[in-house]
Amino acid sequence: MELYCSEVPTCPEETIASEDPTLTRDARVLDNMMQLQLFNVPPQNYFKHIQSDIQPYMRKVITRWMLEVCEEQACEDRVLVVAINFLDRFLCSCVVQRTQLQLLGSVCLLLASKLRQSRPLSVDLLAYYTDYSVSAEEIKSWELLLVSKLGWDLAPITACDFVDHLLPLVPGVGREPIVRKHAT
Amino acid sequence: METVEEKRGRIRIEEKLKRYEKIDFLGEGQFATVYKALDVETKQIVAVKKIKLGSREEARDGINRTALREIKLLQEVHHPNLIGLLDVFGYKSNVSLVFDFMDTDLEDLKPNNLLVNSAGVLKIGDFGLARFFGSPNRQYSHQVVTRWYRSPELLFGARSYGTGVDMWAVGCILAEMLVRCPYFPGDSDLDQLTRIFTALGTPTEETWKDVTKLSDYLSFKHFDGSPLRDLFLAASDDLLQLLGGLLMINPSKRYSCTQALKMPYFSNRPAPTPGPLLPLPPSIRSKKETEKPTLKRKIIEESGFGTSLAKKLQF
Repeated sequence: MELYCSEVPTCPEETIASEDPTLTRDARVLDNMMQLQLFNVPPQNYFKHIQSDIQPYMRKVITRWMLEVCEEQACEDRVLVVAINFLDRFLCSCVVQRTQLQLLGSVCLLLASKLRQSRPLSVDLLAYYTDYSVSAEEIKSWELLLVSKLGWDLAPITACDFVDHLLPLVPGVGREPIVRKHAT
Repeated sequence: METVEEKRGRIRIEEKLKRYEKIDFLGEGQFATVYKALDVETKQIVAVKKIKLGSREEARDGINRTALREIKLLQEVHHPNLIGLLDVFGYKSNVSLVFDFMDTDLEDLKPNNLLVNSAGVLKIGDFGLARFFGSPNRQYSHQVVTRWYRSPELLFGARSYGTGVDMWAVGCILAEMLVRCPYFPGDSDLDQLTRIFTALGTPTEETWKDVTKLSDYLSFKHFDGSPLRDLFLAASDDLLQLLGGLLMINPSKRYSCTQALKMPYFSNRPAPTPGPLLPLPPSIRSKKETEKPTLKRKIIEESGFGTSLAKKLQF
Protein backbone atom coordinates (compact mmCIF):
# COMPACT_ATOMS: atom_id res chain seq x y z
CA MET A 1 0.00 0.00 0.00
CA GLU A 2 1.27 3.43 -0.80
CA LEU A 3 1.58 5.94 1.95
CA TYR A 4 0.97 8.97 -0.15
CA CYS A 5 -1.72 11.22 1.18
CA SER A 6 -2.71 12.98 -1.91
CA GLU A 7 -5.84 14.62 -0.64
CA VAL A 8 -6.22 18.10 -1.97
CA PRO A 9 -6.04 20.48 0.94
CA THR A 10 -9.21 22.40 1.33
CA CYS A 11 -8.50 25.62 3.10
CA PRO A 12 -10.26 28.42 1.32
CA GLU A 13 -10.17 30.65 4.33
CA GLU A 14 -6.80 31.53 5.72
CA THR A 15 -6.91 30.21 9.19
CA ILE A 16 -4.13 31.37 11.36
CA ALA A 17 -2.95 29.02 14.04
CA SER A 18 -3.69 30.26 17.51
CA GLU A 19 -1.04 30.76 20.13
CA ASP A 20 0.82 27.61 20.97
CA PRO A 21 1.78 27.70 24.65
CA THR A 22 4.45 25.09 23.99
CA LEU A 23 6.27 27.89 22.20
CA THR A 24 5.28 31.05 23.99
CA ARG A 25 5.56 29.70 27.53
CA ASP A 26 8.93 28.10 27.04
CA ALA A 27 11.70 30.52 27.93
CA ARG A 28 14.14 28.59 25.76
CA VAL A 29 12.40 29.80 22.63
CA LEU A 30 12.85 33.46 23.57
CA ASP A 31 16.46 32.83 24.56
CA ASN A 32 17.15 31.19 21.25
CA MET A 33 15.57 34.04 19.37
CA MET A 34 17.67 36.56 21.29
CA GLN A 35 20.81 34.76 20.27
CA LEU A 36 19.79 34.09 16.70
CA GLN A 37 18.79 37.67 15.91
CA LEU A 38 22.42 38.71 16.09
CA PHE A 39 23.45 36.44 13.24
CA ASN A 40 21.36 38.10 10.61
CA VAL A 41 22.10 41.75 11.18
CA PRO A 42 23.57 43.24 8.00
CA PRO A 43 27.26 43.33 8.88
CA GLN A 44 28.24 46.71 7.53
CA ASN A 45 27.26 50.03 6.04
CA TYR A 46 27.16 48.99 2.43
CA PHE A 47 26.66 52.49 1.10
CA LYS A 48 30.07 53.37 2.45
CA HIS A 49 32.08 50.22 1.87
CA ILE A 50 30.55 48.08 -0.86
CA GLN A 51 28.25 49.86 -3.23
CA SER A 52 29.32 52.67 -5.52
CA ASP A 53 26.18 53.25 -7.54
CA ILE A 54 23.57 52.65 -4.86
CA GLN A 55 22.68 55.65 -2.70
CA PRO A 56 20.74 55.72 0.55
CA TYR A 57 17.73 57.40 -1.05
CA MET A 58 17.43 54.47 -3.46
CA ARG A 59 16.96 52.10 -0.55
CA LYS A 60 14.08 54.28 0.52
CA VAL A 61 12.54 54.11 -2.95
CA ILE A 62 12.90 50.35 -3.27
CA THR A 63 11.66 49.53 0.23
CA ARG A 64 8.70 51.86 -0.24
CA TRP A 65 7.79 49.97 -3.40
CA MET A 66 8.17 46.66 -1.58
CA LEU A 67 5.87 47.97 1.14
CA GLU A 68 3.26 48.96 -1.45
CA VAL A 69 3.34 45.51 -3.03
CA CYS A 70 2.99 43.87 0.40
CA GLU A 71 0.12 46.17 1.33
CA GLU A 72 -1.79 45.60 -1.87
CA GLN A 73 -1.24 41.84 -1.70
CA ALA A 74 -2.20 41.82 2.00
CA CYS A 75 0.99 39.96 2.84
CA GLU A 76 1.53 38.63 6.32
CA ASP A 77 3.38 41.06 8.60
CA ARG A 78 6.72 39.37 8.52
CA VAL A 79 7.12 39.16 4.77
CA LEU A 80 8.24 42.76 4.33
CA VAL A 81 10.69 42.80 7.22
CA VAL A 82 12.25 39.53 6.15
CA ALA A 83 12.48 40.73 2.53
CA ILE A 84 14.26 43.93 3.64
CA ASN A 85 16.63 41.89 5.76
CA PHE A 86 17.47 39.82 2.66
CA LEU A 87 17.95 43.02 0.64
CA ASP A 88 20.35 44.59 3.13
CA ARG A 89 22.35 41.42 3.62
CA PHE A 90 22.65 40.94 -0.12
CA LEU A 91 23.82 44.51 -0.59
CA CYS A 92 26.52 43.89 2.01
CA SER A 93 28.00 41.12 -0.08
CA CYS A 94 27.41 41.96 -3.68
CA VAL A 95 27.85 45.05 -5.85
CA VAL A 96 24.78 45.92 -7.88
CA GLN A 97 23.79 48.70 -10.23
CA ARG A 98 20.79 50.91 -9.64
CA THR A 99 19.14 49.33 -12.68
CA GLN A 100 19.20 45.99 -10.88
CA LEU A 101 17.72 47.22 -7.64
CA GLN A 102 14.08 46.59 -8.49
CA LEU A 103 14.98 43.09 -9.69
CA LEU A 104 16.67 42.50 -6.35
CA GLY A 105 13.65 43.85 -4.44
CA SER A 106 11.33 41.52 -6.38
CA VAL A 107 13.48 38.50 -5.67
CA CYS A 108 13.64 39.38 -1.95
CA LEU A 109 9.83 39.57 -1.86
CA LEU A 110 9.51 36.27 -3.68
CA LEU A 111 11.80 34.46 -1.31
CA ALA A 112 10.42 36.05 1.86
CA SER A 113 6.85 35.24 0.83
CA LYS A 114 7.80 31.62 0.16
CA LEU A 115 9.26 31.32 3.61
CA ARG A 116 6.96 33.46 5.70
CA GLN A 117 3.56 33.25 4.10
CA SER A 118 1.18 30.39 3.48
CA ARG A 119 0.40 31.76 0.02
CA PRO A 120 3.55 32.96 -1.74
CA LEU A 121 3.66 35.77 -4.26
CA SER A 122 4.05 34.41 -7.77
CA VAL A 123 6.93 35.30 -10.04
CA ASP A 124 4.53 36.62 -12.68
CA LEU A 125 2.78 38.82 -10.18
CA LEU A 126 6.07 40.35 -9.08
CA ALA A 127 7.08 40.94 -12.69
CA TYR A 128 3.75 42.68 -13.17
CA TYR A 129 4.42 44.97 -10.21
CA THR A 130 7.63 46.13 -11.88
CA ASP A 131 5.54 47.05 -14.92
CA TYR A 132 7.45 44.23 -16.65
CA SER A 133 10.71 46.12 -16.45
CA VAL A 134 11.93 42.94 -14.77
CA SER A 135 11.20 39.58 -16.43
CA ALA A 136 10.03 36.39 -14.76
CA GLU A 137 13.20 34.69 -16.02
CA GLU A 138 15.43 37.30 -14.40
CA ILE A 139 13.62 36.87 -11.09
CA LYS A 140 14.08 33.13 -11.17
CA SER A 141 17.74 33.30 -12.07
CA TRP A 142 18.45 35.85 -9.33
CA GLU A 143 16.61 33.79 -6.74
CA LEU A 144 19.40 31.26 -6.67
CA LEU A 145 22.00 34.03 -6.60
CA LEU A 146 20.25 35.57 -3.61
CA VAL A 147 20.00 32.33 -1.62
CA SER A 148 23.61 31.47 -2.23
CA LYS A 149 24.79 34.98 -1.28
CA LEU A 150 22.76 34.67 1.91
CA GLY A 151 24.48 31.36 2.58
CA TRP A 152 21.06 29.65 2.47
CA ASP A 153 20.46 31.27 5.83
CA LEU A 154 16.87 32.23 5.25
CA ALA A 155 15.31 32.46 8.69
CA PRO A 156 16.28 35.83 10.11
CA ILE A 157 14.77 36.68 13.47
CA THR A 158 13.18 40.09 13.23
CA ALA A 159 11.58 42.41 15.76
CA CYS A 160 8.11 41.17 14.73
CA ASP A 161 8.95 37.67 15.87
CA PHE A 162 9.20 38.83 19.47
CA VAL A 163 5.70 40.25 19.70
CA ASP A 164 3.95 36.98 20.48
CA HIS A 165 6.51 36.11 23.10
CA LEU A 166 6.62 39.47 24.82
CA LEU A 167 2.93 40.36 24.85
CA PRO A 168 2.01 37.67 27.40
CA LEU A 169 4.72 39.02 29.67
CA VAL A 170 3.25 42.50 29.79
CA PRO A 171 0.96 42.79 32.81
CA GLY A 172 -2.59 43.71 32.00
CA VAL A 173 -2.22 43.14 28.26
CA GLY A 174 -4.26 40.33 26.79
CA ARG A 175 -3.89 38.78 23.40
CA GLU A 176 -6.53 40.87 21.72
CA PRO A 177 -5.76 41.03 18.00
CA ILE A 178 -5.79 44.81 18.13
CA VAL A 179 -2.97 44.92 20.68
CA ARG A 180 -0.95 42.48 18.64
CA LYS A 181 -1.53 44.41 15.45
CA HIS A 182 -0.33 47.65 16.95
CA ALA A 183 2.65 46.01 18.59
CA THR A 184 3.71 44.59 15.24
CA MET B 1 23.05 38.63 -20.81
CA GLU B 2 24.82 37.07 -17.90
CA THR B 3 26.05 39.55 -15.33
CA VAL B 4 29.41 39.17 -13.62
CA GLU B 5 27.66 38.12 -10.42
CA GLU B 6 25.59 35.51 -12.17
CA LYS B 7 28.71 34.18 -13.86
CA ARG B 8 30.53 33.93 -10.55
CA GLY B 9 27.54 32.17 -9.09
CA ARG B 10 27.49 29.75 -11.97
CA ILE B 11 31.16 28.93 -11.63
CA ARG B 12 30.69 28.23 -7.94
CA ILE B 13 27.79 25.93 -8.71
CA GLU B 14 29.81 24.01 -11.26
CA GLU B 15 32.48 23.51 -8.62
CA LYS B 16 29.84 22.08 -6.30
CA LEU B 17 28.64 19.73 -8.98
CA LYS B 18 32.18 18.42 -9.26
CA ARG B 19 32.67 18.23 -5.50
CA TYR B 20 30.16 15.41 -5.08
CA GLU B 21 30.87 12.38 -7.21
CA LYS B 22 27.87 10.18 -7.71
CA ILE B 23 28.49 6.61 -6.57
CA ASP B 24 25.10 4.99 -6.50
CA PHE B 25 21.43 5.67 -6.92
CA LEU B 26 19.70 5.25 -3.57
CA GLY B 27 16.10 5.90 -4.26
CA GLU B 28 13.47 8.04 -5.81
CA GLY B 29 10.33 9.42 -4.29
CA GLN B 30 7.63 11.75 -5.38
CA PHE B 31 9.66 14.82 -4.49
CA ALA B 32 13.30 13.95 -4.63
CA THR B 33 15.96 11.64 -5.95
CA VAL B 34 18.65 10.51 -3.57
CA TYR B 35 22.16 9.50 -4.54
CA LYS B 36 25.07 8.14 -2.59
CA ALA B 37 28.10 10.28 -3.39
CA LEU B 38 31.71 10.87 -2.48
CA ASP B 39 32.66 14.31 -1.21
CA VAL B 40 35.90 14.77 -3.09
CA GLU B 41 37.14 17.42 -0.64
CA THR B 42 36.60 15.52 2.60
CA LYS B 43 36.62 11.98 1.20
CA GLN B 44 33.41 11.45 3.15
CA ILE B 45 30.49 9.40 1.86
CA VAL B 46 27.37 11.55 1.71
CA ALA B 47 23.77 11.34 0.54
CA VAL B 48 22.74 13.95 -2.02
CA LYS B 49 19.00 14.63 -2.14
CA LYS B 50 18.06 16.38 -5.33
CA ILE B 51 14.68 18.02 -5.01
CA LYS B 52 12.57 17.57 -8.09
CA LEU B 53 11.58 20.74 -9.73
CA GLY B 54 8.08 19.44 -10.09
CA SER B 55 5.57 20.18 -12.74
CA ARG B 56 5.89 23.06 -15.09
CA GLU B 57 3.28 24.83 -13.05
CA GLU B 58 5.41 24.53 -9.92
CA ALA B 59 8.64 25.35 -11.66
CA ARG B 60 7.18 28.62 -12.81
CA ASP B 61 7.81 30.13 -9.41
CA GLY B 62 11.41 29.14 -9.03
CA ILE B 63 12.86 27.22 -6.13
CA ASN B 64 10.56 24.69 -4.48
CA ARG B 65 9.43 26.28 -1.25
CA THR B 66 9.10 23.08 0.73
CA ALA B 67 12.79 22.57 -0.01
CA LEU B 68 13.56 26.10 1.16
CA ARG B 69 11.72 25.48 4.41
CA GLU B 70 13.40 22.17 4.95
CA ILE B 71 16.79 23.80 4.48
CA LYS B 72 15.87 26.60 6.89
CA LEU B 73 14.94 24.05 9.56
CA LEU B 74 17.87 21.77 9.02
CA GLN B 75 20.19 24.72 9.53
CA GLU B 76 18.53 25.51 12.83
CA VAL B 77 18.78 22.11 14.35
CA HIS B 78 21.98 20.53 15.52
CA HIS B 79 21.61 17.36 17.45
CA PRO B 80 23.33 14.00 17.38
CA ASN B 81 19.98 12.36 16.62
CA LEU B 82 18.93 14.60 13.79
CA ILE B 83 20.27 14.12 10.32
CA GLY B 84 22.97 16.66 9.60
CA LEU B 85 22.75 18.95 6.60
CA LEU B 86 26.28 19.32 5.31
CA ASP B 87 25.82 21.51 2.28
CA VAL B 88 23.24 22.94 -0.09
CA PHE B 89 23.65 23.95 -3.66
CA GLY B 90 21.45 24.88 -6.52
CA TYR B 91 21.61 24.74 -10.24
CA LYS B 92 19.03 26.70 -12.21
CA SER B 93 16.04 26.32 -9.89
CA ASN B 94 17.04 22.82 -8.80
CA VAL B 95 18.16 22.44 -5.24
CA SER B 96 20.30 19.64 -3.84
CA LEU B 97 20.81 18.94 -0.16
CA VAL B 98 23.88 17.10 1.07
CA PHE B 99 23.41 14.94 4.18
CA ASP B 100 25.35 12.58 6.38
CA PHE B 101 25.16 9.21 4.74
CA MET B 102 23.04 6.82 6.74
CA ASP B 103 23.12 3.08 6.23
CA THR B 104 19.44 2.44 6.47
CA ASP B 105 17.00 3.87 4.07
CA LEU B 106 16.53 7.55 3.78
CA GLU B 107 13.26 9.91 4.49
CA ASP B 108 7.14 13.43 9.23
CA LEU B 109 7.88 11.07 12.03
CA LYS B 110 7.34 7.54 10.76
CA PRO B 111 9.63 4.55 10.69
CA ASN B 112 10.83 5.38 7.18
CA ASN B 113 12.19 8.67 8.45
CA LEU B 114 14.16 7.12 11.24
CA LEU B 115 17.59 6.27 10.00
CA VAL B 116 20.18 4.20 11.76
CA ASN B 117 23.84 4.18 10.81
CA SER B 118 26.22 1.31 11.26
CA ALA B 119 27.34 2.77 14.62
CA GLY B 120 23.81 2.26 15.87
CA VAL B 121 23.02 5.97 16.03
CA LEU B 122 19.46 6.87 15.14
CA LYS B 123 18.69 10.08 13.30
CA ILE B 124 15.44 11.71 12.26
CA GLY B 125 15.56 12.36 8.57
CA ASP B 126 12.90 14.58 7.10
CA PHE B 127 11.76 18.06 7.89
CA GLY B 128 9.86 18.84 4.76
CA LEU B 129 6.82 19.95 6.65
CA ALA B 130 8.17 20.42 10.13
CA ARG B 131 7.33 23.79 11.61
CA PHE B 132 9.89 26.25 12.70
CA PHE B 133 9.74 26.19 16.48
CA GLY B 134 9.39 29.85 17.32
CA SER B 135 7.24 31.04 14.48
CA PRO B 136 3.68 30.75 15.68
CA ASN B 137 0.74 32.41 14.03
CA ARG B 138 1.34 30.71 10.77
CA GLN B 139 -1.28 28.93 8.83
CA TYR B 140 -1.05 25.25 9.50
CA SER B 141 -2.23 22.52 7.26
CA HIS B 142 -3.77 19.38 8.65
CA GLN B 143 -2.42 17.33 5.77
CA VAL B 144 0.88 16.83 7.49
CA VAL B 145 2.22 13.50 8.66
CA THR B 146 1.63 10.30 6.76
CA ARG B 147 -1.84 9.02 7.53
CA TRP B 148 -0.91 5.97 9.60
CA TYR B 149 0.93 8.17 12.07
CA ARG B 150 -1.55 11.04 11.99
CA SER B 151 -3.21 12.00 15.25
CA PRO B 152 -7.00 12.10 15.75
CA GLU B 153 -7.02 15.93 15.99
CA LEU B 154 -5.33 16.22 12.60
CA LEU B 155 -7.73 13.69 11.09
CA PHE B 156 -10.61 15.77 12.45
CA GLY B 157 -9.16 18.77 10.65
CA ALA B 158 -7.65 20.72 13.54
CA ARG B 159 -5.57 23.59 12.23
CA SER B 160 -4.29 24.69 15.53
CA TYR B 161 -2.30 21.81 16.87
CA GLY B 162 0.79 21.42 18.92
CA THR B 163 3.72 19.13 19.46
CA GLY B 164 1.18 16.49 20.52
CA VAL B 165 0.91 15.39 16.88
CA ASP B 166 4.49 14.22 17.05
CA MET B 167 3.96 12.44 20.35
CA TRP B 168 1.07 10.54 18.76
CA ALA B 169 3.37 9.54 15.90
CA VAL B 170 5.96 8.38 18.43
CA GLY B 171 3.26 6.25 20.10
CA CYS B 172 2.35 4.66 16.76
CA ILE B 173 6.01 3.93 16.03
CA LEU B 174 6.51 2.42 19.46
CA ALA B 175 3.44 0.19 18.96
CA GLU B 176 4.75 -0.79 15.53
CA MET B 177 8.08 -1.81 17.03
CA LEU B 178 6.24 -4.07 19.47
CA VAL B 179 3.98 -5.83 16.99
CA ARG B 180 6.27 -5.36 13.99
CA CYS B 181 3.57 -4.14 11.69
CA PRO B 182 1.87 -0.75 11.48
CA TYR B 183 -0.58 -0.34 14.35
CA PHE B 184 -3.20 1.74 12.50
CA PRO B 185 -2.76 1.08 8.75
CA GLY B 186 -5.77 3.07 7.57
CA ASP B 187 -6.46 3.21 3.85
CA SER B 188 -8.51 6.42 4.05
CA ASP B 189 -8.90 9.13 6.67
CA LEU B 190 -12.23 7.61 7.70
CA ASP B 191 -10.74 4.15 7.97
CA GLN B 192 -7.85 5.60 9.93
CA LEU B 193 -10.16 7.08 12.57
CA THR B 194 -12.24 3.89 12.69
CA ARG B 195 -9.14 1.84 13.40
CA ILE B 196 -7.99 4.22 16.11
CA PHE B 197 -11.36 4.34 17.86
CA THR B 198 -11.92 0.58 17.59
CA ALA B 199 -8.66 0.02 19.40
CA LEU B 200 -8.71 2.88 21.87
CA GLY B 201 -12.35 3.90 22.22
CA THR B 202 -14.47 6.61 20.57
CA PRO B 203 -14.02 10.08 22.05
CA THR B 204 -16.98 12.04 23.38
CA GLU B 205 -17.41 15.64 24.54
CA GLU B 206 -16.83 14.31 28.07
CA THR B 207 -13.49 12.69 27.26
CA TRP B 208 -12.36 15.37 24.80
CA LYS B 209 -13.90 18.80 25.23
CA ASP B 210 -14.77 20.61 21.98
CA VAL B 211 -13.92 17.63 19.78
CA THR B 212 -17.29 18.04 18.05
CA LYS B 213 -16.31 21.58 17.03
CA LEU B 214 -13.36 20.51 14.88
CA SER B 215 -13.93 21.31 11.21
CA ASP B 216 -13.90 17.73 9.92
CA TYR B 217 -15.53 16.15 12.96
CA LEU B 218 -17.73 13.15 12.26
CA SER B 219 -19.68 11.25 14.81
CA PHE B 220 -18.50 7.62 15.01
CA LYS B 221 -20.09 4.47 16.26
CA HIS B 222 -19.33 4.06 19.93
CA PHE B 223 -16.45 1.75 20.67
CA ASP B 224 -15.21 1.11 24.19
CA GLY B 225 -11.73 0.24 23.08
CA SER B 226 -9.77 -2.56 24.63
CA PRO B 227 -6.89 -2.51 27.09
CA LEU B 228 -3.46 -2.24 25.44
CA ARG B 229 -2.49 -5.34 27.38
CA ASP B 230 -4.79 -7.45 25.17
CA LEU B 231 -2.77 -6.72 22.06
CA PHE B 232 0.72 -6.11 23.40
CA LEU B 233 1.00 -9.39 25.24
CA ALA B 234 4.73 -9.38 25.78
CA ALA B 235 5.15 -5.73 26.76
CA SER B 236 6.11 -4.80 30.30
CA ASP B 237 3.79 -2.69 32.45
CA ASP B 238 6.05 0.38 32.38
CA LEU B 239 6.13 0.23 28.58
CA LEU B 240 2.34 -0.03 28.35
CA GLN B 241 2.04 2.93 30.71
CA LEU B 242 4.23 4.96 28.34
CA LEU B 243 2.36 3.76 25.26
CA GLY B 244 -0.98 4.61 26.87
CA GLY B 245 0.23 8.15 27.59
CA LEU B 246 1.41 8.67 24.03
CA LEU B 247 -1.72 7.22 22.46
CA MET B 248 -4.16 9.45 24.35
CA ILE B 249 -6.91 10.39 21.92
CA ASN B 250 -7.45 13.77 23.59
CA PRO B 251 -4.37 15.84 22.70
CA SER B 252 -4.57 17.85 25.91
CA LYS B 253 -4.19 14.67 27.95
CA ARG B 254 -1.44 13.19 25.79
CA TYR B 255 2.04 13.11 27.34
CA SER B 256 4.45 15.83 26.35
CA CYS B 257 7.99 14.87 25.53
CA THR B 258 9.19 15.90 28.99
CA GLN B 259 6.43 13.93 30.71
CA ALA B 260 7.18 10.87 28.60
CA LEU B 261 10.88 10.96 29.42
CA LYS B 262 10.09 10.99 33.14
CA MET B 263 8.19 7.72 32.89
CA PRO B 264 9.65 4.76 34.78
CA TYR B 265 10.14 2.92 31.48
CA PHE B 266 13.21 5.02 30.78
CA SER B 267 14.84 4.45 34.15
CA ASN B 268 13.80 0.86 34.82
CA ARG B 269 16.12 -1.95 33.90
CA PRO B 270 17.27 -3.13 31.45
CA ALA B 271 19.30 -0.15 30.29
CA PRO B 272 19.46 0.48 26.53
CA THR B 273 22.06 -1.37 24.49
CA PRO B 274 24.91 0.92 23.41
CA GLY B 275 24.55 1.85 19.73
CA PRO B 276 27.60 0.03 18.37
CA LEU B 277 26.47 -3.20 20.05
CA LEU B 278 23.11 -3.25 18.35
CA PRO B 279 22.65 -6.06 15.84
CA LEU B 280 22.78 -4.91 12.23
CA PRO B 281 20.33 -6.08 9.63
CA PRO B 282 21.85 -8.65 7.24
CA SER B 283 21.77 -6.17 4.41
CA ILE B 284 22.18 -2.50 5.13
CA ARG B 285 21.69 -1.59 1.57
CA SER B 286 19.34 1.25 1.08
CA LYS B 287 15.95 0.49 -0.15
CA LYS B 288 13.55 2.45 -2.14
CA GLU B 289 12.67 5.68 -0.51
CA THR B 290 9.05 6.43 0.01
CA GLU B 291 8.38 10.07 0.20
CA LYS B 292 5.79 11.79 2.15
CA PRO B 293 3.31 14.04 0.55
CA THR B 294 3.64 17.70 0.50
CA LEU B 295 1.09 20.40 0.65
CA LYS B 296 0.35 21.45 -2.90
CA ARG B 297 0.99 25.05 -2.65
CA LYS B 298 -1.66 27.33 -3.83
CA ILE B 299 -0.66 29.65 -6.53
CA ILE B 300 -2.00 33.08 -6.20
CA GLU B 301 -4.82 33.97 -8.51
CA GLU B 302 -3.26 35.87 -11.27
CA SER B 303 -6.33 37.35 -12.73
CA GLY B 304 -7.18 40.78 -11.52
CA PHE B 305 -3.72 41.88 -10.49
CA GLY B 306 -4.93 45.30 -9.61
CA THR B 307 -4.15 48.27 -11.74
CA SER B 308 -2.48 51.06 -9.89
CA LEU B 309 0.78 49.89 -8.40
CA ALA B 310 2.78 48.38 -11.21
CA LYS B 311 5.68 50.60 -11.97
CA LYS B 312 9.24 50.66 -13.06
CA LEU B 313 11.29 52.42 -10.45
CA GLN B 314 13.62 55.12 -11.69
CA PHE B 315 16.68 55.84 -9.61
